[in-house]
Amino acid sequence: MAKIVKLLRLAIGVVLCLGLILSSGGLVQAQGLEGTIKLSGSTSLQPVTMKLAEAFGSEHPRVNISVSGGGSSVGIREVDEGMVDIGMSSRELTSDDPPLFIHPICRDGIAIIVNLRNPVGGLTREQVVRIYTGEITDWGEIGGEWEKITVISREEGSGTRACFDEKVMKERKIFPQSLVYNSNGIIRTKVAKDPKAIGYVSLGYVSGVKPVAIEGVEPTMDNCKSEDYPLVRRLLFVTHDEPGGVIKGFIDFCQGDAGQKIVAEAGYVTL
Amino acid sequence: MSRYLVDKAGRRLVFLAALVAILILLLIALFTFKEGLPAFLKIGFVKFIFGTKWSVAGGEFGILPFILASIYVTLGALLLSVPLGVSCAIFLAEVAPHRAREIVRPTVELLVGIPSVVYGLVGMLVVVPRMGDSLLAAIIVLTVMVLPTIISISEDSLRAVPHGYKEGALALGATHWQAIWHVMLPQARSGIATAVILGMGRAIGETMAMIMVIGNSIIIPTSPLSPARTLTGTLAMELGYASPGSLHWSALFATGVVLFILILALNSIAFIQRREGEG
Repeated sequence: MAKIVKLLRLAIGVVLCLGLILSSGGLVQAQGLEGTIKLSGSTSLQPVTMKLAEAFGSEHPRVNISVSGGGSSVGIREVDEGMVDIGMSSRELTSDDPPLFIHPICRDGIAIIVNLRNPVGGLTREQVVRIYTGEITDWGEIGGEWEKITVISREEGSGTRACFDEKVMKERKIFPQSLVYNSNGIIRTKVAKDPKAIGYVSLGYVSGVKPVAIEGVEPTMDNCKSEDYPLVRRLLFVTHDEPGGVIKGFIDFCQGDAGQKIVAEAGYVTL
Repeated sequence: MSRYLVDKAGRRLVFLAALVAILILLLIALFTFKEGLPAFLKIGFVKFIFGTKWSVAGGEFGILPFILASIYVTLGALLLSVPLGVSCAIFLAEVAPHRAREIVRPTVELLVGIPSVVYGLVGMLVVVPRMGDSLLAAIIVLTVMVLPTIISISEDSLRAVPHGYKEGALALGATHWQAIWHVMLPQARSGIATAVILGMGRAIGETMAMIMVIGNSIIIPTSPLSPARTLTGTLAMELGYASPGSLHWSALFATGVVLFILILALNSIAFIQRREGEG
């Protein structure tokens, strides 16, 4: 009989321990935060978010953060469905999106890029619009060599495209003959290889290509910070509810001094 | 008795495996049709298939440009790769000295294993700078990707032709070339048809490499040098952005349905052709 009681006690003990281990996520303790945070969304935000998560994780070793991509719309959808705790978005929410809480993390400039051999160093907004509507088709019309322009754009749905549409094209539509590629990296390679090409990419991707000034303003970090350069967008975290506990801790960290230092090191514009 | 049982169990097991394969295909088809149906109903079948404008923001979904682009690149790639591939197969099976064959054959087989992103990258850096982002660039990249399939299956089917046929032709005074052209090739016809079907399947389904070289413009291609966007390219580029249940989502699945039917139709044509060839 005693043996059975002993066994039973052991079993109960094991079960309780297991329960404690399994249910410990999300608890806030006096010494520090602990729990699990899941993020998904914009690939523009993914690299910097991973760096932020790493830094936060070394301060709070009992916090587990997983970051996956998928694109802004995926992040917004998954946070709305409760599949992740934080969604990453490189575009502002529209009326079609579910109502979510918005937490700006950093800003990003979009550079309009041409081939290094292209003599054109600056364009007006109106010229960019007319290139992307197909009204200007030759570099000769805007001070370059007489060669046909290869116009490269991003796909519909991309956060970068949304910002370009909103801040440059406004009501005008990009003409359907323009080439469409679906990543910053591919567009940079295309423009670097094609002397006649024009494209637009996230500021962090400008290397091996020439960023052009818009209305005389170069897309430098300082000009983006002051927003003298017109193509600047906010990169956001979105949550379903008012964040609390470990999630609030992480967002506060990202928006705070330590987080913003990491943001600047990663080549983004601070808040 | 027990041997009989093992035999029976074995038969059941492989039958089950075959059933699973068919079941998976059916489930995929069912799911795709189910998700795509609302688009057909809301947009209208004819307007969806023959519409020439695709704009997510504008709510317009017409996939004629994608259908044409997919057909053009597939036919273009076959036009280049079938003569080239079959010639290469004849060389390997009939003409090549043993040493040459030992080098060429493994090289060709190695080509199958290269991921399509790599073909896309090479296309982007080597082919596109010479002719621009275009159907032609896509056709050239696709030709290289389809060649190994066509070469190795055609070669196998040429080798499967009984020796006696060729020897008979030669004995009757035919030259080597005449024996190949009038005896070997007609005999290997069904195997070569299989090679073409498999090549076609790979061509029409190819996504990544196409996205990287074809330009992805939503226009009806008017010349080989015009950019275009394929059915698979549209799916790969936009599915991540569509929210489930929206018209965009459904239109993308409907695009998948069209792709499905297109592949089915092309395969059936090839299958019937082959039947007639045998009969």
